[in-house]
Amino acid sequence: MVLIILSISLGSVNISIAEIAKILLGSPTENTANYNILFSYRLPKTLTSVFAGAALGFAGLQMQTLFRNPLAGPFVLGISSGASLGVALLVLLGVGINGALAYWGMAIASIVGSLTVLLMVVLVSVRLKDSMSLLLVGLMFGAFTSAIVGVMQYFSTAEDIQNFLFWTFGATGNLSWTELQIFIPIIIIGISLGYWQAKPLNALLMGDYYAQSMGLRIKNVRLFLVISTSILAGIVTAFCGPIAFLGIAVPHISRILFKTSNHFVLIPATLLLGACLLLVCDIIAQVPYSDLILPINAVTSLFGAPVVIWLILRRKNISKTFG
Amino acid sequence: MDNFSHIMTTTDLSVGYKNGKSVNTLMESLTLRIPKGKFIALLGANGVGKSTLIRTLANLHPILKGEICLKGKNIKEYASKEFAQQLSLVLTDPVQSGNLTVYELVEMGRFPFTNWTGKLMPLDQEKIENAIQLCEISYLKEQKITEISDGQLQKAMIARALAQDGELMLLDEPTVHLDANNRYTILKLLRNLVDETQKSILISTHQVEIALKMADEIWLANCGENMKCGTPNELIKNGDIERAFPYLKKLDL
Repeated sequence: MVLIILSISLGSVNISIAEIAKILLGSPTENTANYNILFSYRLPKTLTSVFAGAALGFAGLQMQTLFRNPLAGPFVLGISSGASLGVALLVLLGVGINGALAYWGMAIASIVGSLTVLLMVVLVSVRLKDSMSLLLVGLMFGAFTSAIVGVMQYFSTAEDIQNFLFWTFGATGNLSWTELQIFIPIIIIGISLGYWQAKPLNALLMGDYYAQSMGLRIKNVRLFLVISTSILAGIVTAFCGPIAFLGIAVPHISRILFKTSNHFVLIPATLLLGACLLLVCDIIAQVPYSDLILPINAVTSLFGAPVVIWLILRRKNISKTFG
Repeated sequence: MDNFSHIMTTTDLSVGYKNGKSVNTLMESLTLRIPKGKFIALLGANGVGKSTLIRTLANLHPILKGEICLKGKNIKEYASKEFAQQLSLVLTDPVQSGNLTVYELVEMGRFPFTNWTGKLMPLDQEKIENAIQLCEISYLKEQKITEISDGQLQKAMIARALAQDGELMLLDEPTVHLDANNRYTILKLLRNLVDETQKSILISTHQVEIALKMADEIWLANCGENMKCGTPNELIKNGDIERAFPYLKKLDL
């Protein structure tokens, strides 16, 4: 909550907290400029961060439990790269990102992209029992899709490439209310789909054989988790660009903070922590009291990676707390 | 067939691995019976297919040929949840979730009985408590599973299977990695469970001496031979045990 207020109140134009309270409570204000900044820029931005952060954290948690691998996450398994490929196909092949239809187009393109990669990863994971090889395969998929994007960039116009590059920097501030109307419901669908699998996720902690022996239909669960993750990772990547690091880090931080592997606790925890973390990164990215805005992707990695390293060092062995 | 005295029966069962066109049959023409309320020990050398047989019986591994019936019904016709309510398992695969407590682990056994929120009803809690008591691990309840010894963990795994409350428990090498005292304790615990709960238990083990003392029935698997089933005394008398485990004679304890 505090972070939400901070995020709304900090920006290149200084608006006092009292003023914000007044505007939010609906009392008439003499300063329409402030009103506009608040409603058409800061509020959507804050909401975007909250939902995107929650979505990424949860997507990471699902991947880590499904693959029983502490390194799994939307990024490492190439899911975000898949989403990038979807968007790249759309942007670089000249369809462009204009008009209301394009938002849907981008959302669908990136979800299809991430779903394709994730399904391939799952197909491979059925053949490979060993999670290390799976990780390598995910990385290869990521490299493969990035290469395709690279080739496409080579043959694209400078303007398209610029559009695409800006997209890869990641941003939470580009969403209008109309886009949020797509963004938020889809994330809520993805989260509910995943939350519905909380009990199977707990069973998966024991390993596939045990989960099955407890009456879990493992193929269905895998499918649901894959769909939920690709919706979440896909939509966020579509609208905010590929945001690194959150997906891996948030589940670990939740496990360490809450000292549990029960998904009925971990899911709300990752949602909340993910939202908070992205808000913090977002606030840092705006560089309070200045006109600068840093790319959010750089900030999440810049400030996030040391945090994770510190946590791991303190814990000595993360695979023991994992799961 | 009398479904009441036999929990599980197999007819002309072959187990093994199929990889594309090549088929590697480990055991064939198995016609086995697991009677109600009996403790059965499956003995045999490494690689003879004990684990594969147990996984096949538990419907985790595809059947090569023949069929398996649980309480008179083909296991393929069971819904997965219904099957899990009849049969529970302890395998050799390690569980690597450091944040789980022993209680949470045992709680997992109630998985097939709870709704999607996993909420435990009074009956579930009673079964969990009961399983914990029977396995004598009450003092460990709040410990994380990485903080306890292998022997204690094995007891917790057995408690989990017990909480699942099937009439049949299959255990794949429950004594592996344990020291001599713990091996005895675990097998003794299983023996008591059979007597107290009238469940049927099938274990695979290399603890020939203890198994011969405690089991009601021995299944003796040998490479390239048919499975020999019988009471420990029968198999000792007709020399099967001595032929399969010549070391017993050499040690001459």
